[in-house]
Formats: sequence, structure tokens, C-alpha cells
Amino acid sequence: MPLPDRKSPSLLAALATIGIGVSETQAAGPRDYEGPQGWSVDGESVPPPPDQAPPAGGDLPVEDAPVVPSEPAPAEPAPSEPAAPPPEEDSGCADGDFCVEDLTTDEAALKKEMAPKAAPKLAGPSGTLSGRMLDATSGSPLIRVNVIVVGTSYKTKTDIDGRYTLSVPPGTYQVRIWYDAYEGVTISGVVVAKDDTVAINRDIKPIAGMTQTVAVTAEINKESSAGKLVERKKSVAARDMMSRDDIRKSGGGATSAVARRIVGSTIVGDRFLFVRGLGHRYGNTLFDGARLPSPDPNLRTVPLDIFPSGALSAINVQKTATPDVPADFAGASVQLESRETPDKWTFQIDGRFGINTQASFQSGLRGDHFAGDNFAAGNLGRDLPDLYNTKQPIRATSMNGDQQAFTPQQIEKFGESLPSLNTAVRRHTALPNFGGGVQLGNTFKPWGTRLGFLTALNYANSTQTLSETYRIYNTEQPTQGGPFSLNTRNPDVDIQGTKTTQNVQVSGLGLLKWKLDQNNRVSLLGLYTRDADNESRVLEGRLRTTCGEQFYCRNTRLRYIMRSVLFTRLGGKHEIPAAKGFTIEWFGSYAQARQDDPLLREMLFYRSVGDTPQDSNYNVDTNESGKFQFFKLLDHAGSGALDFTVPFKQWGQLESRFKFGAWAEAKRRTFGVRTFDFEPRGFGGQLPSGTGNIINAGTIGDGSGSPEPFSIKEVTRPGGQDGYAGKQEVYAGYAMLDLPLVRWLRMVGGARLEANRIRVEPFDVFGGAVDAKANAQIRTLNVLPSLNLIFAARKDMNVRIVGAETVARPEFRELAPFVFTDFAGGFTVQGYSKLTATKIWNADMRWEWFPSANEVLAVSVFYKHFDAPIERMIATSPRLQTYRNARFANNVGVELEGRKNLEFISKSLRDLSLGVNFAYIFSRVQIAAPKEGDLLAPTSTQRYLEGQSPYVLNAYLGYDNERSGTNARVLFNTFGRRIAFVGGNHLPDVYELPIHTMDVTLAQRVYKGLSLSFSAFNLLNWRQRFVQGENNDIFYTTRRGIFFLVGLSYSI
Amino acid sequence: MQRITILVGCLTLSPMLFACGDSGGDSAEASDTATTDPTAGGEEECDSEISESIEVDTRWACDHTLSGIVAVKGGVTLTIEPGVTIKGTTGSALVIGKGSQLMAEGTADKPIVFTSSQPDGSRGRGDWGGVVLLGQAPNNLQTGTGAAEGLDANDPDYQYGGSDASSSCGSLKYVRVEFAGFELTKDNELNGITFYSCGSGTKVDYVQAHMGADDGIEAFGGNWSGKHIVVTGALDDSFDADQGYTGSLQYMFLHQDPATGNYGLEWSDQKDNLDAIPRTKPIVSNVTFIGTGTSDPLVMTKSGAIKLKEGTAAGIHNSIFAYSYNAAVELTEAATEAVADKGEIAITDNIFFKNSVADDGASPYLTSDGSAWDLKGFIEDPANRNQIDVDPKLGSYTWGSANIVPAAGSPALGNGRGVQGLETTDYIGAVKDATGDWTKGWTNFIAK
Repeated sequence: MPLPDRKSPSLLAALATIGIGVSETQAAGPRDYEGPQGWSVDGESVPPPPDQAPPAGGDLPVEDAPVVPSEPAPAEPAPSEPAAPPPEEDSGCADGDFCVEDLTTDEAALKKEMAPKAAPKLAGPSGTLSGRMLDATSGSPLIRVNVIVVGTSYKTKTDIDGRYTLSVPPGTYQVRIWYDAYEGVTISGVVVAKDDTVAINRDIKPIAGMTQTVAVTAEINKESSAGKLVERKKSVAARDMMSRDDIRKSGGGATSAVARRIVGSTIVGDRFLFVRGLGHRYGNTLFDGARLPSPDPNLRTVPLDIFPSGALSAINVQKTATPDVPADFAGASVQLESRETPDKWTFQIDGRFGINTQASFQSGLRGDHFAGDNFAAGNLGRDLPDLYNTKQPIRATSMNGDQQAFTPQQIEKFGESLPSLNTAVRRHTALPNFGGGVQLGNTFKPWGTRLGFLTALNYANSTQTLSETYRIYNTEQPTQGGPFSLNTRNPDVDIQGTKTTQNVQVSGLGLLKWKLDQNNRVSLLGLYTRDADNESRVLEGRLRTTCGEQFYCRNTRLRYIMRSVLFTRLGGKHEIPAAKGFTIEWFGSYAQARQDDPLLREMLFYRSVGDTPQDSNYNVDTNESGKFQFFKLLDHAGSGALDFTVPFKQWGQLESRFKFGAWAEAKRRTFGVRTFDFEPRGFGGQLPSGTGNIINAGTIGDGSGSPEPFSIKEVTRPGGQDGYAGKQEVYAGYAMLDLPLVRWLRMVGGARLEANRIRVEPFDVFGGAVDAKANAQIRTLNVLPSLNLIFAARKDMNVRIVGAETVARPEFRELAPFVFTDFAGGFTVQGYSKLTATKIWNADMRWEWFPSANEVLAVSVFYKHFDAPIERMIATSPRLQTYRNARFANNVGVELEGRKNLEFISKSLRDLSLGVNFAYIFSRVQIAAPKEGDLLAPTSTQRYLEGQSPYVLNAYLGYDNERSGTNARVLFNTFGRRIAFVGGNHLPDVYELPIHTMDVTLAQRVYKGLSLSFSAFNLLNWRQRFVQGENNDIFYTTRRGIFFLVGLSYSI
Repeated sequence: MQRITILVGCLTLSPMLFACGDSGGDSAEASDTATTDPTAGGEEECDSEISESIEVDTRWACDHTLSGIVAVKGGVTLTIEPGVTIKGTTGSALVIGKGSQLMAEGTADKPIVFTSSQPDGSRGRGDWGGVVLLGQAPNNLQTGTGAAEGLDANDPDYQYGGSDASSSCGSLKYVRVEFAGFELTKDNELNGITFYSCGSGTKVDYVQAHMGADDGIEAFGGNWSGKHIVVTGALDDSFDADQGYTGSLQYMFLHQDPATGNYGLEWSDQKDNLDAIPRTKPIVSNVTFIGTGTSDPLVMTKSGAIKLKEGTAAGIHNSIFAYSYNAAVELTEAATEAVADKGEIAITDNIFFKNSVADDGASPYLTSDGSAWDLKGFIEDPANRNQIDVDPKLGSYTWGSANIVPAAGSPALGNGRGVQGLETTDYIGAVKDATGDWTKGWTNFIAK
């Protein structure tokens, strides 16, 4: 029974300090916006003198190359008749003066600037200056860059796309461009003729000499909370974003710990991001647009804790579909953006140390140790030796028995040459959690281009011990023909377990971004993550159908699962200025995911109910003992896309764009398992008692039963039960139009065509015949339309209405007949080859209000119709966990989000901010009439969709004091009870009850680049409970313990 | 004469001919021919590997090897001629689907043998799956339908149960099923022979289940009856009945390997509904059971003679139960006690000898924890004429070479009483004398 895999939160992130290294100065106004206001060379903050005029020349180097006038310039530069300048809504700066302007004091201006600005009307003849301002490092548009005509009152600021237009009377001017913390530019001799348009486009550079803080500053503009809100406002689809600011304030660390704070999101099993309470099935994960495979073969979502959050500039959660995004999501498309490379040499190192109240320095379990266990490489030593590379199973004779395959001596040698025969699980005091990371980056300027790189290495080692209870009940029908109820008096399975898991994560990231010129950018990303769970487990209790009523069972297991993902992506973006900003974006990615699960060792012992639990009273149950299994999974996946964007102006001269493109992806999987069993073949005596290493070189024989009792026998199943090959291809094309109909109404619509084929073909590990009946194939061809209407009711307010169709497809594992049973007596997990894909119709309406740069209030109402959703089911006769399509399901929900600075209550609270996200969802599933002979007909017909929580709540209270360099947050998360397994064949559904979690993070700058952080996760240590039946009888329960973590980070 | 249907040949020989059963093409015509005349056309290729399902009437006159799960389905009959040996490879099994039949009628001289594909002398429990018969007689499952243990529960071909009480799963006569019980899924081994809801039309006579890794013979529902049954060396129970099985079995020899074994007879009404109707009620007579307690030194096992649980009814008569390691009789759950109180459990005219060997006979009876129900009084009630701790004087209890003929003067002789519906014998146990020892000749007692 694969209950959510726990994972200790990995250690505090590198990131917790990056942000702290950034100096920020104080100004009145909301404190959340971390835009730079003043800088000194060494990164210490300089209080801005608001009334002080900056040096006139030094910071504003004059760029010599004048703009080539389109017409001969008039001799006299000064405009003879300046028209009345547009009303100046901005405060602070005198015209033409350089000034340090605090953007955050200027919320009204920011709001206004979020929408394209109309050129001021001029009474007389006029010409136009227009253009676009981009960040020279990242290439992203810069918002609110000042464009000033020197000596006049004509000025404007760039909009959210970095564009501006400014009408001026004809003449020759000096134009000054400045942006805080960027190098200013002054252009002389700009000649503007009547009715002419002069284009001035510039990539402006962060101010040199600002050392590392500049690099971060450059990002902050894009990566700050405020920047993200701007992006969100502008975004086509309803989406929620988490910026680097948020990431840092959440304590950094694993990306999953961060993503928890996204509106309506839940982190499940500490690793997976669910949105609006929808589970694994309804999300996808893209890294810079490319498909990222999950290393977990049973799931389609990618565990977020494999990414160091320091590698990301943002986590972007798209909740409504647009044609340019793969359509296989309904909850959220989680889009991870790689960060920009730093502008200067940056180096950062950090170390972390933590404890778990249930594991660290306490007695846990452990099996034998292998080299590499502490580097996620313990799978290598556990692998089957070369000796086992045989054409036929390890048995005395060939499959059909007509010839000898191996001699008795060989059989004995096979048995004795497994990497380890130790099956004993011993007590062991667990180490504390620890980890560290380094990051290095810089940008070079070869041949006038900009070539930046960023590398990060991360290591984490953590241990968790869980006490678990598993119970499996049967149904009973007290009266013939009457209602069924759960028989809790006499469970089939009632066991207590202890499980210690040591998790080791190693990851490396390399990022190269090459900006050839201002129109052409190429980036190369390589990511390798490797993580391993070294699990030691003992389960003990009653398994009456396995050991009988008179006995207690003890089931021990040692397991080591290594998962790795190698992901590479090469992409580029090319803007063709000659073709009016026609943009081509492309990428190709290749990924290899591996899951290596070698040397699973399992034993089953029993003792009489009346005996004491001393070791000598245990006897080995030979049927379920001595099982050694070797699982291997390998995925190759590639995706590629080509997108074209054609900007144009619609009839009202509003910026519009047409986008079209193509997408292709393919995935290949091979999965196989080999199983070996030690059995007392031909042995008639008494086997050793106790739970020690009873299978060893001295007890392994040649199959004759004497003198050594045990002999190895391969029981890998024929006929494709122990291997499958999966293939999937998706080809897609789309076209979409982003068209403002009028200034306040923008329409984005289009369609995506997706052709998909999934095949799962079981194969025999030894090449034997396979019944083609078990093959699964799904072919779909979907035209998936979507339409977004965005009403900009006010400049700081949007209303969006979205309708879109998306899909959800079963995973390979869910289609494969391979069976796995977590413990003797537990549920057998098996795929179902007849699953079909799910179509989803989504409707979404959202109202958003951005009262200030870092504040938001949003309300969404949404509806989803799932055609044939796939649900995870269990039944007890047969005892099986599998999957079925329901007929349809409808979800209706409302979602609220608010973020507010508390300064409005009192000035003294200006460092505090509060954020709340809440989603409520009503769901109903319609079940098809049970088919003849379907023993998994769902029991309940009036219920929520499996995995759907009725509500999800996240809240935080933040304290950010830049003067003292302190950031602190208290975060709370909860969700409503949700169905974990749909019960079949009269078995009631299994619900997971709410888990309330509270985390606290604290970061303090100690000295310059040195900072200290402290986090406490899971403070409430709420019990995880899966329950069943009217009385909420326990199906599974455990607690994860409280995690404390201290981190120290230094950056230069 | 060796004959085989075209279909089997073509399914077996080449994947190119996989389309045999489909419409169109030459091979389809061949298959049509085969359907109409199962014996027509084509030589049966002996010693072939059978790996595909059988969907037309088929006859095997010579030996074959099973590979993977071979299902007989679509209401067809698989006939096996006397003397044929069918070998099972790892993970293979023969599954007779609902509505199809297995006609395996050997003779004492030429029994039909299902065995391991391993060579003689190196065979062992669990080498292959076993024989599974899925019928359409009633059982007491709430849904009336169940899925065969260990087989793909998602596949309707592997489901059983119906309303035709007189239906037949076929006929098994002089059939041995050896070294079965491959673990299909964890904790889910196949039994030697499993009868799922087989109806009264099913014929079972002279059948041995030998060295299986689970139960020897198990009946889930159904109402078939049989005679002359031998179960030797079952790792779990020798004869297990569940889910409303109501049949009569006479002349059984159940011998446990001294190293392992659970119950001789384990009967349950239904684990989810202890009063499910029809109530499980096997009637057995003339059983000789030898438990694991014969070895020296004694090996700890879970061996017991009789286990009645979960509301089953029972009739156990004229039988010998000897050398169980643990209790001779276990009767658990209040529901079962209530069934006994209503007189639906009858245990009469039996001999109990040297049971509860583990504690020298100190605890021959076992009831549920805390139950005050008087099992000892029930068994030892003189009216039931059970002989307690009386030596039946059998020839030999030795594993592998037992002689269950009672010696002259044995209390087994002359004390038998007739049981309604069964042959009347005047003796207790499976055999009366050496000449009438039906357990010899067609059976196999070699443990590897």
C-alpha cells in the first residue's frame, strides 16, 4: 500500500541568504517591495537622501552615438514652443534631475504604469519618441524606466513591457534614460520631425561597481514579489507566482517548502505540489517550458524537493490553460524558471544542521551499510553481480525443465554471491540532519556578447523514523441482503511498524546564458539530481490470513531506492527587429530518469500469540521469507518546442500579438524486476529460530536440502508480469491571438491540437512469450480550445473569464499489469490496461485587485467537468489497489487570496505583512453502472473526486526588517479531509484527515555576506491519519515529528 | 494416435499465426475447422510449449509444457488423455474459466500428471502454479462473484460464481497435481487444485495434490463431491473449504510433511460474513490424517488437524486424526459455536491419536480467546463415539512411505457407521485393508 512517501524536509537553502546579502534601504511606504534605493560599493546600505540631487554627470555617462535623425535636424535644438506638459503624477524628482526614486512610495504611479500609457496630447505639430527598455543582463523588459527629454518637461516611463511612447514637438533633443541602480544613458542629437517616430531602444545595464548586490538587484526587479505581481497582472492566464523574495522569506530550502505558500496549493508528502486540492494526476511540471520527468514511476508530478530553490528565479503556477502550454493539467501547470546568471563573480557557501524530534540521536532501525550510502550511490554496491547476467532464470533447469541450466554447485554459488545476505534489522542511533551547498556564478563579455554561468551543488542527509499503524478491515453484511459495514472487530491486518529512512540528496546544476546581442539569447541548462532512501522497516502484529489466528507476524524489510534525473535543455530566443519584433523561441530537452531499487530484502517470522516477543520465539515463515528483489526503471524523455510571436498593432493601435508554435515530446520506459527466493527446498529439519541473519553462507546450499537448508530460486514471473515497456508520444500545435479589443478588454484565445499515443507492453524479462491481451494503448487526438477575457476594470484591477479544455492521461504504471505488494497481507498494487484518458472542461472567473505594489486581493470562482476521471481504488476481496475511470465528475470552487501590509493599522506595524489563501471546492463524482463481473465497483456513489480536498487554507504572517536584516515568517497550512482510496466491492472509502502544519522561519544578517537562519517545520506535529468507515477507524496513521534546522551562509 | 487441434498448434508455434482465432485469412479457416471438429486435421506436436489461451475444444494426447497462465475459456473443453504428463514451468498455471471444462480422466495404470517441469529428484513446492477450475455454481459471496486468488483480478476471465448448482467444471480422475503453488503475487500462492464454485456435475475421483506451496485442495463455494483424495506435503492446509462449499468427500488421505503444514481440514463459512448463506458445510468420511508431529527431533510447525471457523458447519465422520503438532480440533468464533449449538457441526466416530504433540497432548482443543464454549465436552461426548487418544494401529506414519492400513485388532476396524449420502463402511479411516489400499499405485509420495 503506497501511502504518501514521507520525506524529511531538506535543509535550509542556500537562498536564505542570497536575499539577505542584498542591501535595501529604507524609505517610507510599504516595506515589501525590495527595489533598490541606494547602494554602496560594498553592499552596505546607504540611506537615500530624498532631497539630495545626485551628481549630475558621473552616473549618467553620455552615450556618444546619436540616433541617426530621419530628417535633417533643425539648427536650434530647443523647442520653440513647448506644449503644456502632461500632468505630472509622479512625485519626488525634478525634471531632468537624476534622483533616487522610491518606487514603493509611488504606488499610484506604478499602477498607472502597468498599462500602456497614452501619449500626451500636444496642441501643435508633434513627433514621437518610442522604444523599449530591456535589462542588459536578463533581457527582460524594465518597467517604469524614466525617459526624459532634457531641458523640457516632456517625460514618460516605460510600461510593463518596457515600452514607451512620448510625443514631443519637432526638434532636436537630448534624451536621458535612467533607472534606479542602472547605468543611465543620455543620447544627444535626437532629431524628431513632424509626424515622425524615432525609435530609441536600449538595453540598460545595472550600475557597475555595485558588486554582488547588483546581480541580485538585477534579479529583484524581475524576481521580487512586486515584480511578480506585476507579471501576474499582465499575465494572460490566471496564475500565481512565487518570486525569489517569497522563496527567501519562506525560509528557502527545498523548493517544496517554498511552494507550499502558493495560493490554493498543498504540499503532499512534503514533496508534491497540489493546487486547488487536485492531486498528482492533474498537474504537470515544466522547467523553462520543457517537460521535466518525475523520477517516481508511480506519479506524474515531479517532487519539488529535488530542486535547490537557489536555482530558481520563480515558481509559476498556471491555473488556467492557454494554447501555448501543454494541456495535460487541470489543477496547475507548475512552471519553474531558472534564475538569471549573476553579473559579477558570486560565490556562496552554506551549511545546515538540524534535528528531527523523532529521529535524531534516537534509536531507529538500520540494516547493513554499503559504500556510497552517504552519497546516494548505495545502489551500486547492492546491484546484482555480473554472475547474474544470465539468459535464463537462476534455477536448476531451463524454463521448460528439459535440460540442466545450472549445476547444484552453481546454484549454491549464486545464492552465496548476492551482494548481501544480511536480513537482520538492528537498532541504531540516528545521526542528525545536515547538509550544505555552494554556488558560483559570473558573466563574461567575450566578443561583445554576454556569457553568464551559474553552478550550484547541494548535499543533504536526513533521517526520519516513523511509527506506523496499518489496519485492513473486511466488510461484513450482518444480515443477508442487508447493508454492509466495516468489520473492525477482527481486522485482517493489524500491525504496528517502525520505519527509519535515511534520505541523501545530491544535486548539481549548471546554467549557461549567452546573450549574443540584444535580440538573440541562448541558454543551456544541465541539472542532475540524485536522491536515495535507505529504508529499514519492521512490521509486527496480526496478519490472520497470512500467519493464522494463533500467531503474530513480524515482517522485516531492507530497501534502498535511488532516484535520479538528468535533465538538459538548450533553448533560445530571437527577436527580429527588422520584422517588427517578430520573436522566435525554441528549446530542445532531453531527460533521463532512473529508479534503481536493488536488493530489497524481506523476511517474515511468526510467533505464537501466547509467547513473549523474545527473539528466540520467532520462527521463519519460509513462504514469505528470503525474498530478494531487484527493480530497475529507466526513462528516456525528450521534448522540444518552437514558438513564434508576431506583435502587431490592432485597429486602435493597441499592442497585440499572434503566437503560434509546435511541440513534440516522447518518452520511453523500461521497467523490470528480478525476484529471488530462498527456500528450504528438500529440507526436513528444524530451521534456525530468531530474526537474525538466518540465511547466510552456512545455510545456503545447492538445492538438495542437506546439509544446508536454503537454496536460491529465481521466481521472476513469466508472461510479462515482471516487466513492461512504456512509450508515449505527444505532438501538438497551437495558434493563439492576444488581442486588446479596447483599452480595457483584452482577449486571448486560440486552440491547441494535441495528438497523443501511449502504449504499455509487458515483456518477459527472459524473452518468453507474453499475452498481447495485457497490452494497453491509448490514442487521442484533441482539439483543445481556450479563451481568456481580461477586463481591466481599473488600472489596478482585472477581471478574467476563462474557458479552456484540457486533458489528463494515465501513467505507464497505471496501465501495467505489474504487481507490487508493500507488505505481506497488504494491498497488491496493479495497473489496469483498460484505462482511458480524461477530458476536462475548465471555466474560471477571477477578480484581482492590486492595491499596491506588494498587495493583492483576488477572488476566483471556477468550475471543472471531468469526463472519465481516473480514481485510485482498493478492494479487499480480492485485496487489490488499482485504478478505474469514473463516468464524470464536477468540481465547483471559490478561491480567495489576500496579501496586505499591516502598516494601515499602525505605522509601527509597517514591518509586518499578512497573507491568506483559501480555496473551497465542492465536488461530485458520477459512477458508471457497475459492469458485469467488475469486482471493483465503487461502494459510494455520492462523494468527492478521489484526492480532492473540500478546502485548502494557507496563511502567513511575515516580519521583514531591512535595517536589521531580519526576516521572519510564521506559516500555517491545512486542508479538508479527502479520499485517499475509493473503496470497491462494498468496502468504504479511505479518507485522509486534515493535517495542520505550522512552520516558522527566521533569517538574520550577521555581518555583510554572512547570515544565519533558523527554521522549525511541522511544529504542530499533527498526526497523519487515514481512516475508513462511519467511525473513522484507523487505516493508517503516523506522525512525522518536528524538524529544527539551523543554517549559516556566506556569500561574496 | 496423436491428435491436436490446429489452433493449439498455431497458437503455440508462431506468433505470426496469432490471428488464428480472428476472422479472415487462411488461418482463420483452419481454426474454424478445428472448432467444428476438435480432432480433425494436423498432428499434435508432442512436448510443445503451451503459452496461449485455449478457446476451442482441445485434446491433449501427449505431454506438453505450460508456460505462463494458460486459460481455457469461452465454454470449451480441454480433454487430456490417460498417461499424459503436463509440466508446468515457473509461474505457469492451468486455469479453466467459467463455463469451460477440464476432462482429465486417467486410469490407475495411466494417471494424468500435472507436475513441475524440473527433472525428477529436483522438484519442489511452488515450481509452478497449479490447476484452477472456475465454475458457475453458487457461493455465499455478497456479490455472488469472486476473483480467483493470485490471478489478475482486473480480468473477468478469472472470476467465478453463478446460480447453476448442477453445473460442471469437468472431471478429474486419476489425476495428480504435484509441486504446485507458485507465488503469483506476494502472499498469494496457487493451491494444488482449486475448485471455485464448481457444481455438482463436477466429477472428482482419485485425485492427489502433492507437495503444494499452499493448500492441497481448496474449495471456494460450489457443491461438487468426490472420492479417493490424497493430499501429501501441503505447505498450508490439506483440504480447505470456504465461501459456502457444500459437498461430500469420502476416502481421503492427508499426510503432512513433518517440516511444515497447517491444518488437515480448514473450513470457514466466509470471513466477511460469518453467517453467509449457503453456509459452508463439507461432509467428510473416512479420512486418515497424519500431522507433522512424527519427526524426531520434532520440528515446530503450525500443524493442526481440524480447524472450524467463521461460522462454518461441518460433518466429520469415521476418520483418523493423528500426530498434529498443535491442537487436534480448533473451533473459533462465536458464530461457529452457535452453528455447533444448532447441531450443524457433527464430529462423530473418529479416532484422535497423538495430537498436540508440541505439549505432549496438553491442549488438544482450542477455542477463541476468552470463549467458555466446551469444545472438549463437544468432541468427547460419548454420544459422538469419538475415540480419544486411542492408537489406530496403522502400519506406518513415516513421511514418504506411510502405510495407513490398520493392523488387525485396530480400533479403526468395525467401528465405522454409515453417513447419509455416502457409502457405508464399517471401518474408520481411508482404507480398510492392504488389498483395498487405493492410495497405492497411481500416487506419488516422493518429495522431490
